[in-house]
Amino acid sequence: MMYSFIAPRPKKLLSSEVRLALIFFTVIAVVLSALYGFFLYQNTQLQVELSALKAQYVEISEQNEMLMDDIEFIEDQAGFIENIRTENTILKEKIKNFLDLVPDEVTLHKVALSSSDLILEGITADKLSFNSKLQMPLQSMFHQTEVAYTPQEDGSLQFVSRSILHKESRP
Amino acid sequence: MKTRRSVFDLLVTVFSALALLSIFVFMVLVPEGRAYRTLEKSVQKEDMELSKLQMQYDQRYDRHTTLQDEYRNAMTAVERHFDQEKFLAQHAEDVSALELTFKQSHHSNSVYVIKDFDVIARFDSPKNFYTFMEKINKSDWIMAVKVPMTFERVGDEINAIFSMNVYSLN
Repeated sequence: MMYSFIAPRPKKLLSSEVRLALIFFTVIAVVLSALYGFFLYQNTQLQVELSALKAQYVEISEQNEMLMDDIEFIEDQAGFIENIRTENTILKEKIKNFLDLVPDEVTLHKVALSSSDLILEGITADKLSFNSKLQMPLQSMFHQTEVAYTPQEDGSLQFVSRSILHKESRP
Repeated sequence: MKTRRSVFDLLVTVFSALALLSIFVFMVLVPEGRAYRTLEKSVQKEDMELSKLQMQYDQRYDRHTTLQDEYRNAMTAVERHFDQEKFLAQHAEDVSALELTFKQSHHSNSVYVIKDFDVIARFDSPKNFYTFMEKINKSDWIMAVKVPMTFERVGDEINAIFSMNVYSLN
């Protein structure tokens, strides 16, 4: 290095150490600023995402409610309809089972069926076959059975049977 | 002299930069970072809840579809308006005579309109009556056969008298 008395060496505003320190802190500041920018960007994105998720949640909740109401409605309807059809089937089976009981010796003229009683009118060849083949099963199905016989000119018996079903009392 | 000045400049630079950076970090960066963490957790939580809800919705949708498929005929039947002429035509082959008399119409729980009919039907044999009852359950309308029922012998036929309720949605 050449030294001179007439040409002074150029003076620097900042020494090399200070410049180094400044560069170092500038780099750190840039990194931190980038991190801050990342946070800002991500927070904006997350806010948008969160709003979208909340809106979607509300929408699906509403759809869920509607679906639930619809399911409840269908189940109620289905239950109600099934109940009606089951009652029809039970009634049909009840009549079928009863008519299957009627022996050949008995001819029915009238059958009246209500929820609590059964009235039969007809003709039987004799009391014994009526009692054993029809009266007995009726007694097992109903709480009370009464029969009135009227003798006919041809020797057969006209009967009127009334079977009563007591309604069960609930406590 | 030069060295002392340089050290002073360096110290001032370092401490000033540290002070500025600290202020930036603690006043701006850390709160923003915390907000980021909080938001991220909120998004995860919301996403999880949404997934649960979506799963619940999918299950209900499947149940709804199954129910619709299973009860399509019944649901259509209960929505259909009762056509008396069509009913008589549908059951003509099971009966030798069929007569329907409309009695009254009333509501049940504001859901159904119930039409009450008196029915007089004549059958060749009890089997025809059973077939009639089975067809009622499969018919285009929801109908309930009601007791009291009366069966009377008329010649070789059976005369059945009973009432019937026809249900349709209000």
